[in-house]
Amino acid sequence: MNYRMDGKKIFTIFNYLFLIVLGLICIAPLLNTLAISLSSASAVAMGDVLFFPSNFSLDAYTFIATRSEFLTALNVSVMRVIVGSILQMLVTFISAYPLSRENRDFRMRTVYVWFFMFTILFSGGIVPLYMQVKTLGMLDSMMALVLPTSLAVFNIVLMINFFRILPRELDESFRIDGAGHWTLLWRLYFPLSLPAFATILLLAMVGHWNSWFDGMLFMNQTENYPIATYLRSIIVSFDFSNVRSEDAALLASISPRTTKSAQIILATLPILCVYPFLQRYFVTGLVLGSVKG
Amino acid sequence: MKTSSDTARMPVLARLRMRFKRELPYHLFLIPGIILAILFCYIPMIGIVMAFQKFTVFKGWFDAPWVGLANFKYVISMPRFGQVMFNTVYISVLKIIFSLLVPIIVALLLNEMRSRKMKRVLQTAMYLPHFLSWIILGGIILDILSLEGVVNSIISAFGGQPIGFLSSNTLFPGVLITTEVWKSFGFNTIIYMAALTSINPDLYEAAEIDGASRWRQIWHVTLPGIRPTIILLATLSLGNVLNAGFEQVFILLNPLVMDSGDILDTLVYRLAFNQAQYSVATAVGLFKSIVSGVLIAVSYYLAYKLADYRIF
Amino acid sequence: MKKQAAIVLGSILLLMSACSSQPNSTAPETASPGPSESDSVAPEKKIDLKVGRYSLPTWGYPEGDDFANNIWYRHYADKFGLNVTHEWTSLQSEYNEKLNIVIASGSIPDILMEISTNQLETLVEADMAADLTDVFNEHASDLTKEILYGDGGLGMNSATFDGKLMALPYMTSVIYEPSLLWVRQDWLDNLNLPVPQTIDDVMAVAKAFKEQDPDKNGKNDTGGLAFSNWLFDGITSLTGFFNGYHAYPQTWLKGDDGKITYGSIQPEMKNAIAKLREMYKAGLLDPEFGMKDTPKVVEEVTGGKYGITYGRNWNVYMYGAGLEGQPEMIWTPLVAPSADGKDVFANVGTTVVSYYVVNKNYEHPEILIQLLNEYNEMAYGPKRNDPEVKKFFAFEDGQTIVEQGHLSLVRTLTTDEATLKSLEYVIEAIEKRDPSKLDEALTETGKYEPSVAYLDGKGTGYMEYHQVKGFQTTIEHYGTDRLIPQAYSGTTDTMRDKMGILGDYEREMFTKLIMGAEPIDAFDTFVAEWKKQGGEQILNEINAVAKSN
Repeated sequence: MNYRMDGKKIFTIFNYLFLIVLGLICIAPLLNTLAISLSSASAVAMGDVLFFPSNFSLDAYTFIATRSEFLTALNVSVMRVIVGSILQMLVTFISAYPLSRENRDFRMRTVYVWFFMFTILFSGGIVPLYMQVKTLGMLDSMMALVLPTSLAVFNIVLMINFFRILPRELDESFRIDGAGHWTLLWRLYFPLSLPAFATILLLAMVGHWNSWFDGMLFMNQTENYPIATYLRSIIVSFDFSNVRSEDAALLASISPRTTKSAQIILATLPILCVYPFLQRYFVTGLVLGSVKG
Repeated sequence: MKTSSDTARMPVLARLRMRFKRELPYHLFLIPGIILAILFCYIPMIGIVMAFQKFTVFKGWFDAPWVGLANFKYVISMPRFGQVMFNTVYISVLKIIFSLLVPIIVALLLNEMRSRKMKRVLQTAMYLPHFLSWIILGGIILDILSLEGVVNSIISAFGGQPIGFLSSNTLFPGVLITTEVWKSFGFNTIIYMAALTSINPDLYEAAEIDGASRWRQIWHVTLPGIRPTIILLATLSLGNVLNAGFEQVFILLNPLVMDSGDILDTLVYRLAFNQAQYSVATAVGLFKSIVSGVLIAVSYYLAYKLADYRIF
Repeated sequence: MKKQAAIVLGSILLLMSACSSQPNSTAPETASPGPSESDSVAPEKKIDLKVGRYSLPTWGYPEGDDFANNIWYRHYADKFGLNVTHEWTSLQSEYNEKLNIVIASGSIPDILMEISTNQLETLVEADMAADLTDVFNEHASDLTKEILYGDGGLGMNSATFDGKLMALPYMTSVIYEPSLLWVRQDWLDNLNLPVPQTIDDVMAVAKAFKEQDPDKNGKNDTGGLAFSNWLFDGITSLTGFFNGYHAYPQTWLKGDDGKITYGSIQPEMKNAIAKLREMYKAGLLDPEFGMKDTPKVVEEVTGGKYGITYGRNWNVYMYGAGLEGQPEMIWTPLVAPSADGKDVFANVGTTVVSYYVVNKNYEHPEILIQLLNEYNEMAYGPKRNDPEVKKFFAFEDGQTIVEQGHLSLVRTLTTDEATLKSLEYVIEAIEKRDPSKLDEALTETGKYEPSVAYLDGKGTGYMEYHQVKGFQTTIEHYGTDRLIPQAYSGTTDTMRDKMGILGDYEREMFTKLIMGAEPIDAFDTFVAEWKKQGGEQILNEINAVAKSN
């Protein structure tokens, strides 16, 4: 017994150590970016900056504060995350519900599942999608960013599997009370699947925040770029073989890595704040609690 | 069972009508999803015909010259195509395996932590790399793994010879796999953590009463509890067997490790060099889709037959 | 070609002298007596023009202006009754990709700006581009014709398909492009070294910089010769090094027999590579250069790790950020040293940067030509020094001068001869501190004030001054007669299919050869393989095209 307790202690210590080191390794790149953003441009060019700022300077941040495009893009992204995540969660939720039924309750289930699976396997590529969005008159509008992404089959499948874990008896007892599908969905499934819901909501929000390609593809005016698209165009390296003498001066004013890093930090912070907030819902024993209650 | 004696006696038509009435709400729930799928997935799928055409500019989907399998042959005829296919599968399979295992292990270890606060902080830390694109991470990785980088400084400090991680054909796939897992494991850990919360605590209590050790509890309660999620994620990730990660490889690839690091997507990128070769890209995309489709279907079938579990 | 260029220059000079005798108070807003005047439509009649174009986040605008409402567009509205709208915009880094998708989707705006050769060929093949032959002949001003034909017609030829002019080329001066040797003068002085004049000197300087602590900081933190894994980029390049061996990588060369061949497969390449191997072995190159792209190497140079590198006249712009940490940093541009004492020639690109195309369905194709006339008139015409006209190219925002010439829908650079002459005026003006002759220059006049300010020890003209030094070296050593331009600028079928693969194969082999991962004789294998994998076919196609022209 005594021996076992010791083993447990040793395990706990190692477990903590290991996970903390792992966590540190994961923070390293962002820390590096943060340190660069807070250093002077010359210190960065000298390669002096690793995890601590050298020649501390807020120049990069004051520079960004003067650029309205950055804030505009941030605004587009926030809108997109809110509208897009709500839509996606709604579609995910109401699609996962029927698809999580047993085959004998919903005979067409398998057909529908493969109907949706097919869409993640096959795609016509970007040109047809661009033309379709154009035909629908959605170019340059928020619709183009939130509608095509609102059907997230991967998330639906995850949700189906979470729904299936829920005890069937609850379902039956609600039915016996004569509750309709909507009641069942919102009164029973929603509260019970909160941890799963929070997880998938996080996936949806992060997906919307990080996606840059559709912004570039569907937005006709750079003012409508979401932050990820804007950020990418700043970070992506220039094709130096094509630079003309006359443009060199313009490029020179872009290059500071400090500014790039500051924009990365500013663009990453908002979405980072979402996670601890959602984490409240990842509480163990929720299912049990409601079963007992 | 469902087929009660009442319904059994009904005429077939009435029974069908009743079933339809019962199932109608399910169909209605799916309408938004179906409309979205048709609008943004199925209609654009017409574009797959490009794989069999010499497409340059859209004039009508069926008006570009048909070339049969020429686009596929063109890709296959590339020098080193075999090596590239091997690299693609080799790198992606190892990525799939480790991307599955590492998050499970980390989720289990995190679950062993008592301090809820610590757990939260660590989980937040671990999902940070997910937010940085490969363009940013690529630069940092080049710095860290270079001959003068942090890792080699540590190796030298212990008296070792500096290692060219990014210039050695033996080490390069390992670098790709490690960095990919490092970037993504925190995020997948979250999914497993969510799955862990759905395990009935009564089961642990029961196991504890039976005197099962922590290891036995993990083996007999925790793992079976998250098995559906594991099977599900494994199946879905099989669809990526030909996606070895374009952005990452593209950024880290350099002439010295072409033999071990060149993958299908980087090859296609070079084929379509600065040039809108949509036909070739579509052909390769279709090929990848078919392979993924077959793999997913097979694993779906196996999970159903062997584990009696319908993944989706 | 030279003769024609001389005629062009002569006529431009003639135009200039003609202008200075005129009272030049008329602003371009009021009807200007330019060649384009007769073309201009009465402002009452509104013409819509939809364009797709890119912007850079660093572009600045005067108070109240923005990308869609700028001085150029207002001028177009006044003068041509033109209503310019942006059908789409993108940032520069995405422009090419966006353009490809727009072209592939089959619906393009009225005018496509700055498109590539490939895109032009796609458009022509798909019959989406308007035939500009007649409108060009009818509307192009003399000045426009002089500039567009300034390279002897090569550029216009590349925009002509089956005898029809399908696009207007954006011309450039290739004299901007020779790859010079840049050396840190302060480091040379610290070590008491002369400027390198031969390839062996280059090696000796690289060795001294690597080993003798040129920055005198007591740390072994400097390297030898800097270049990026692109090998033949505009800056941090090896092009100048190869030129020293009379090798011209990645260039379509006209051989002695009149046939076009490829520079990278010539035997001279092997000699240069052999020397680089020697330097690599001696530790004078970054052992991991294969992993470092241009931005990365630029960062290292900026940080004070390297003091010797090849690059075009503008490369110091990229290193400027390092000034703050090393204010003593001074660069000297030199002609690329020769391996054998013979004159060094520089391979340069084509005279065309990109193209302007009009949508076949657009009703006013002449607009494109009129806009170019207008730009040329304002940029290079008699009234270019009028403050009212200068406003279009730059405005003052507090202390800084912000450029806005790039907001013009259509642009082009001057011919080599005209650029050369302008550069001479600028250099002379700086040397004599006398801006009076600057008015005669067509371009680069903006370099004068910052350079003078820098020489006087005030102001931030460090980069401008260094670029002028680069110009000077270029003029003295290359002029226009030691340049080897691309002998072919189009795209053949096999090129489209194979050139990407071949280019990467070339880079891979050269990298391995320099690093000693392959024996030097593997160069011969490379040449054979390059030909076999499609290079031979490409050369045949190019020569067939060249013959038919």
